[in-house]
Amino acid sequence: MKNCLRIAIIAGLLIISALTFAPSQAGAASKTYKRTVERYHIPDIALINQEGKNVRLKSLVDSGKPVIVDFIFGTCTTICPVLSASFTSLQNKLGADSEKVHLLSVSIDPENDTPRVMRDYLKRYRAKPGWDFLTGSRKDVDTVMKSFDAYISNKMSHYAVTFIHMPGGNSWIRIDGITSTSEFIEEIKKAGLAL
Amino acid sequence: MHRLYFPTSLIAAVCLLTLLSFLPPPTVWCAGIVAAAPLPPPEEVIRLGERMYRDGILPSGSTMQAVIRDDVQVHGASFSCVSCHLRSGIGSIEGQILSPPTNGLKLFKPYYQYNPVIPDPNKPPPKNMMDRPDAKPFYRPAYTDETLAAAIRFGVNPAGRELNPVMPRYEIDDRDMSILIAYLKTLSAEHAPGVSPKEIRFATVIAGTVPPDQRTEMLAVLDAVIKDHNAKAKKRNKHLNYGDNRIVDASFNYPFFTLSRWELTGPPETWGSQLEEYYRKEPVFALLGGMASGSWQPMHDFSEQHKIPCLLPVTDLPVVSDSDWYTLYLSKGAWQEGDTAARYLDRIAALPKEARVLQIVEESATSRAVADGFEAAWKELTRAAPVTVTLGRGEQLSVSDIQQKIRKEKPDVILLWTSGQTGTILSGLAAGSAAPKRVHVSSTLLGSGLAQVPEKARPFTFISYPYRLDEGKELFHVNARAWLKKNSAPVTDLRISSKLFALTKVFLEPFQVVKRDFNPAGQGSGLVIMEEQFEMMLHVRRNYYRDYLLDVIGMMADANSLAFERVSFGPGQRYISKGCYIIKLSPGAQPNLIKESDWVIH
Repeated sequence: MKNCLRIAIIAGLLIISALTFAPSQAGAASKTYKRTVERYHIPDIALINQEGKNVRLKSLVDSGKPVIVDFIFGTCTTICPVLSASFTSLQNKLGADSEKVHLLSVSIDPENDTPRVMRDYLKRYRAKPGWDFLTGSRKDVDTVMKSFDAYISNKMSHYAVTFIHMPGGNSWIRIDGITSTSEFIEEIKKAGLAL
Repeated sequence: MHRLYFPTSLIAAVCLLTLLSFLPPPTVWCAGIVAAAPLPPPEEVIRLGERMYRDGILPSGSTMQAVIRDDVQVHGASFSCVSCHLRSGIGSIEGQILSPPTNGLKLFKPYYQYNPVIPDPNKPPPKNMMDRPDAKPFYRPAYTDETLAAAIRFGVNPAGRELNPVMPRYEIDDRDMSILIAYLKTLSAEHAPGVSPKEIRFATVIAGTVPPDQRTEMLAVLDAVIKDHNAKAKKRNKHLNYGDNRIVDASFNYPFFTLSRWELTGPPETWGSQLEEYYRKEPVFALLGGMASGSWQPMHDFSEQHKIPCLLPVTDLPVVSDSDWYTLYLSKGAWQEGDTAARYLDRIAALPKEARVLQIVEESATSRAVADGFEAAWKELTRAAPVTVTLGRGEQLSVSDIQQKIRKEKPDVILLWTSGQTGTILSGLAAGSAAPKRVHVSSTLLGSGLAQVPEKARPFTFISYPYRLDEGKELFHVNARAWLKKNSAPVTDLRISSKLFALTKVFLEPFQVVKRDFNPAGQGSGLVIMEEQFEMMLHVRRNYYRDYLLDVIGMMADANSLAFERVSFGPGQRYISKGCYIIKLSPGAQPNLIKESDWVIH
């Protein structure tokens, strides 16, 4: 009996320790983002894309295509690569229809993000047509961040935020945080885009 | 009474099966033990491991593949280890995400990380940070090769805790994993040369013939920053002052700084070997400031070769590179002025594509650097190369010569990258029958003689100007000037002290002396690594690694500047001032500078 008890205790301890050391799957499945619906006034300002061309932000947003906006910078270490990887995944899913959705990454480091830096960045993420990286004067970039209620004064303390906009309205789905690809695709579908 | 009887072997088997069902697949815990093919020699293993860590390229040459947030596919070119854990492996903080250390010294020891908490003035100071009840510590056991492989592949630490979902889960086989782990064991494993418990040595390089007033101004600022640190360290090494009359004995020793002067003489070709000799006699942690009569190239090459940071040399002739690592420049110097002129003409002046550009270049390194900057940007903007006239050393361009060139080339724009003769040439152009539409000149080449631009030429003369246009009246500027004055550093038109004031940020901030307590085990000599979270100062974490100094600077917030309109930082960015104005001059002997462009032109 003593032997059995000892073995049972050891078994219990082993099971508890296994449970303790096993990866938490629940944690992986939990949502790490917040979704809200917002209205923003988009300023009619000129920015510069990766080709060095002047573009008007309002015209891009009102182009009649679904638009997804995020804020990144070319030498960012952690958050931007994750956001950009989601854009890559979406474009891969869209395949030949990559231009069906207009992806706009706005630089929050306009002094360093020249057209060449932005082109190199997009190349690194294997961007397809339909994904533009925009820069501009410090003042204009600040104006864009403020218009999306996403202003940060120090780029190193920025946070992950993505905006989805469907044509024909001025509402935006705001996603604060980092999504998985499936969550990202799901949010885009919920916004009304057939994928 | 009936007794239940369980055979021992059955219980053991059930336990074992239960245990195995909770463990990750065998590849996880076998990783690193079995290598598929023999490993290359140790030096090659480190080179291949470094390439995996920095570039995300497997030893086979293929790109590393990974998954983040369960299903976001990423590849090594966009998401290598260095993206988050940085070159030194000491980690980073960006936004809400803290990337912990991945250097061997810390990976293979138990790791305890705590939040810095401001002491409660109503309670006696704790003996050390771990005693603080409101600290929120993070603990993990030491990694082994096997558990580290599991973390890299499946995102699970040795305590079984899942890592942040943005940590990629890499697809790496056993052999490649052993190569990566071998590299991590060497990463930031020992403090850099020039560091001892009592002092950290620095040097400044004065190469060639540097005018005495320039040399005096530079050394005054360097001496001031060293003095500033040492005075604070001296005070802090005696006692810890929490304020409100609570003083306790110091628990951490701040090393003092020393600064040597490395004087290089003779032709620039010999500077490299002179630097080697100085370094052999006296290894230093980093180089500060510095001046040279000519290009900074020899010092730049020395820094790259020996992996020695060089912070803010005062030079108009930096090395312009996208990938070099060890020299942090104030700006791209004269090169930036040419680059700005090209971008201004393309975007703001909207010069037609077919417009003709005549470029006059003197036989000097500075003139050539301005032209190089212009030509590189002009090419990037897909413009036809300018027609270039290169003057021989000391050659003066006569008015008739330039008029002849103009008649021949019929340029829409003249780029006059000349120095002392600029005023004369501009006077000649203004006196001609048809004044040119626009002439671009460089303020660095003009030197202190901006007023040499004759009044009649000012309407068509555009000047590249890489400094701020006002003195700066914000509190930052007032305090900065007061600091220089207090430390007897002259603020002159040479702009040396106003440029080097940035050292109080890029040099003093990383080594900041703070009024906090420390746990002495943090240095890595103890059995357990303990350090504060959310602090990137070298002293606080005692990570005296050269790459880490540059990693820390890369994480700094953008800032004000005495000399420039703005300075900015970022991982891998090596020119802190990235802007330049295009200006014109108002009439008069003391002309005003009239802004024709923004600070940064894309």
